[in-house]
Amino acid sequence: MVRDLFIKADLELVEEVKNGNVSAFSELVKRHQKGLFRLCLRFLKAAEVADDVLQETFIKAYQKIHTFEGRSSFKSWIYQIGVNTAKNKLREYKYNTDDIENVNLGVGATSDQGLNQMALSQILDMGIDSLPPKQKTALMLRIYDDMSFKEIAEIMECPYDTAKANYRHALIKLKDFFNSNKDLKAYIEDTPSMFVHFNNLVCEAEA
Amino acid sequence: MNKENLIIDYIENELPTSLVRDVEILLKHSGKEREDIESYKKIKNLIKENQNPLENKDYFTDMHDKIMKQVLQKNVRPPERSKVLSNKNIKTFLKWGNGALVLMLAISVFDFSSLEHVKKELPNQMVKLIKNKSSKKIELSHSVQSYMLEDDLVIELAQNKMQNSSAEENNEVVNYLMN
Repeated sequence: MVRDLFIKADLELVEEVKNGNVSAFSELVKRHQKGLFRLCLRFLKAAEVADDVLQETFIKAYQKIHTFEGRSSFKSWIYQIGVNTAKNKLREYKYNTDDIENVNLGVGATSDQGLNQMALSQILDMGIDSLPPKQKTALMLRIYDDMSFKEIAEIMECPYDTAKANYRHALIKLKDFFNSNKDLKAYIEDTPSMFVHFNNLVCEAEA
Repeated sequence: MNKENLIIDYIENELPTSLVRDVEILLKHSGKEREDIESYKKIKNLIKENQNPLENKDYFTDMHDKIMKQVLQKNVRPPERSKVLSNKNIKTFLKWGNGALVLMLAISVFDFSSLEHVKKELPNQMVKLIKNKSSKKIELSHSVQSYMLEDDLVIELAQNKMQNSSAEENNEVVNYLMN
């Protein structure tokens, strides 16, 4: 039974849920919870809030599953619910996002020391978090979840070209963000592997 | 399309074949564009590598269990909603819906034709009752329906009304119906 569910496509599972099979929904949760959690966490920054949004997203999806007609993929559909729920939560918490131009990198004159003190991952996070929400969403869905622009457009409820334009703007802004600082520029010009190594060191130190 | 967009679309495999060839020719001759492409690819890799580690299996097992517990506890039952749209229910709905529609049509037809019927068949007492109850034709038709549906009650009412009505009122009713 469990093996059967495992090999079934999302749309087949959705039909089973509609016919009252709760186990089919359990399989859908297993399939999509990680990606959705990552997306929520990126938006909301706090794991416990992302937890709440994730649960709310799946409950909403379960309640509304009869309205899902299969015109898009289930993944697009549930991500759309997730993005909207996260947006609502953001409004509720009145999170502040800075504009990318206003982000203080903290790596000025004493750049080497500054960069060493601040994990590069945090700088990158700052850059991503400072993007306008639509650009950030398009970027995350494309890079983290390998989604097509069609799927991104469905999730963001916008035309295909708009989804693509948002992604392009995000990438261009991030490139400018990196190029605006010589240390960061060096990272993207030379050694992405150093980044991984550096982050590993930070993780080890924190552990 | 500007050059940056062209380059990004090239990286994302979003360009038509004809433009891919053009970009590749451009890349052969321009070091700047090659560098840009490399920069974009590296930024993408950095972002991907910088994802939050989500390999804690227990965390997601717990999360899954929490979600499913809520689904079951909150007694949310989408299948019942979906059953509303099942073939069987659609058929039942159409059957009763059609029945209701026919009944409504019949009533409305009756409304318009019933005045003639009233003129010919209703006893004077009933006419008086109708006149006393209302002076509009549409209300008359409602009275007729009441008569049809609740005749015992109406007859009783009619008897009461008859005792209290004058000859003048009777004439008025007759004139009204004749017109």
